[in-house]
Amino acid sequence: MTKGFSVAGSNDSAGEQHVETPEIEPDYRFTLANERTFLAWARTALGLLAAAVAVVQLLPELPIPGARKLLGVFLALLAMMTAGMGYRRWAQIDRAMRRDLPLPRQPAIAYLAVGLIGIGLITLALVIVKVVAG
Amino acid sequence: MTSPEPNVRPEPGRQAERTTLAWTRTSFAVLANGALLVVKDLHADARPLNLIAAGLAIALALTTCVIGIERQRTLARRPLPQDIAPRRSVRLIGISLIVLIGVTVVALAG
Repeated sequence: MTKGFSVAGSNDSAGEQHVETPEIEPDYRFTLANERTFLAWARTALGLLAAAVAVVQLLPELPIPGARKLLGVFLALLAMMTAGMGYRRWAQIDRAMRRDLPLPRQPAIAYLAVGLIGIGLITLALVIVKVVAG
Repeated sequence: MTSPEPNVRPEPGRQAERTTLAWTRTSFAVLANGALLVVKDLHADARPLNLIAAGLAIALALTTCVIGIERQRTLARRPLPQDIAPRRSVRLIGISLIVLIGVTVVALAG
């Protein structure tokens, strides 16, 4: 949703980044979009947390002892990072909009993707181990 | 999103509605986590740390729901208040969520 932003007028504010930039009230729609983006991050974190709880509580014990707990804790830590990232993003975007600066870059998604790929690979490895072990 | 005309504050309408629904949805997501934490403990010995985490989740779900209702009221006001950024709510939910995840990690690892 934040993609709907047009950072108009940011060219004239580029030179005064280090000076006290007067704060402007952004269009309420941008504020609401930022709020919804934060909530979407929060729900992503909650989804990861639910996966963590489900892995530990509901999954049968995996071929490698302790792997279940490790996978669960890894997922939960990813959830925590996601929650923190969502909050940080909200604050960054809010500040940028109020100072009419260009929106900050978005590296958080890449971290999350790498984490999820890692979990996918671990799960795949566990399946292979199970097949090989019979 | 269509490109907005400058200096025009059109009716929030769906924007406000979507935002309120996003709060509600988040509240349900928290509640689901709370339920998931105790689903196994209902017919076994309840582990205290799981119960604490579940209690925390229920409290956070209620808080999120209350914020959503408050938000709906704020956004229904005409004219719309100048500054509608929910700084305190976002900080409260953001930090509480990290705490909830932290307690859950300890509960899962223990």
